[in-house]
Amino acid sequence: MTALADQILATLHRIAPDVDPATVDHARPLVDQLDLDSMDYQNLLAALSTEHACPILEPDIPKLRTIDDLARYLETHGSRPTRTS
Amino acid sequence: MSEIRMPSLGADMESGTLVEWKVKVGDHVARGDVVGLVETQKATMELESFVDGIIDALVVEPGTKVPVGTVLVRLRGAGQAPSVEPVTGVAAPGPAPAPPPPLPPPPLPPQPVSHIRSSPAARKRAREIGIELAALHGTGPHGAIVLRDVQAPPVVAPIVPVRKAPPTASPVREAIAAAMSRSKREIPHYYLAHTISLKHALTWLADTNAKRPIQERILPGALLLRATALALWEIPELNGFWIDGAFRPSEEVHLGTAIALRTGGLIAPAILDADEKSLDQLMKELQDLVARTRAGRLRASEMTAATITVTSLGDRGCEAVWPVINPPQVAIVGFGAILERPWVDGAAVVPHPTVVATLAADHRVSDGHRGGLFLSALDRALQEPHKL
Repeated sequence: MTALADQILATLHRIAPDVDPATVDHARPLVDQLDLDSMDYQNLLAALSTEHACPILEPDIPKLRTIDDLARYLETHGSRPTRTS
Repeated sequence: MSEIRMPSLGADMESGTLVEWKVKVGDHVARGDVVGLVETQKATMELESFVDGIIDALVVEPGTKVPVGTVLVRLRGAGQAPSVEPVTGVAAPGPAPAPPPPLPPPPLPPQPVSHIRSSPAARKRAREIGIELAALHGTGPHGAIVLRDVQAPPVVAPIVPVRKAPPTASPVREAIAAAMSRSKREIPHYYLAHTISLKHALTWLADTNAKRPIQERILPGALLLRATALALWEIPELNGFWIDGAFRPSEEVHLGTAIALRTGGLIAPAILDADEKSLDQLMKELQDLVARTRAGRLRASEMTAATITVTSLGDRGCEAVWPVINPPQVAIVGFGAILERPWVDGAAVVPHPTVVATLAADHRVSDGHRGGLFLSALDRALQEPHKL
């Protein structure tokens, strides 16, 4: 789970390089915590879906708010993570 | 022989810093290729070549701040011989073919910051606290130096990201202050507002998105941009520039898109020819524009082209915005947050998702009547989302 969280943070940092992954609280909603706009969040979800071969369904999107939410979702629904770094 | 000069990326820009070269002497470049990175008050941007040619000289060293108009690059045509005058610039990065130097080589410049892989936030922090990037160890992708690698020297209190420092006059803030002061001083604004039901638009969007993978999802923001671009066809006097005491309408619709910077301030790069792009294309471009804004990878042309600006407050915004025109443009369109409001639908009052669309426009060019027609056209376009 932690490795998955780190991968999500790496993706987040790539999409929003102005966000410092080290400061992210895994249990707090990312949008509020990091002042992400809807386009940032869309970019994050789209990248995670691609990288983890994990289709993210429209009705599930509102439930994916924190790093922990995302890690759980990718673990349950995703294939093996495709990114190793 | 052609030249690339420090571009003016806004009426108030006087100088810019050449951050990094992306080419070396002898490279072939095509029109539109990125030759380097330029930092202005507002952001780091990509400097493009406007011609096809071969790099003859890189005139300015990375890290140098120069006035707008300063020659940065000299290019020659594909058939032309290299310039015989000694190259006054930096040694080209990487293994460049060494031209026989007629003079002793100039002393090596200090290792330019830009040759080290680093994030914009890290570079900014390093500059702020006066640390050389070369002295740091990168822990980001490919060994890039990221924000967490840049620590203030121990004598300085650690930077705790709990409470932000009180705002100081950052370069972005100064640029906004100059442009907005000029706007309020010179432009006689008038303001209009219109509440639009998005019931049809969002129902259509939800149906459309339900059939698509998340990568191809469309967000309401793209729908609002598309409707704005189409409505401008009907009211062209909102689209263009006020220059030298006269309105210069624009044939093209280049939509400046305000993007809030998390480091403070905002930037409004343009989506070029937005009226000719499909909804899917606009969505892709909007995603790309936001991603490149965050990464400090906007192109100089995108910073100067906007013929009108759109500002959307987004999900967490308030209900309406009364925006200030970005000169020399003559109008700006605002969208508040999409909110459920009581709506009279036939004989019943029912909740509808709605948005307050606002327009601030230049009274030297248009009047409230025409501005109102624009907001009506926008409303109409959003009632027929399948046509967008």
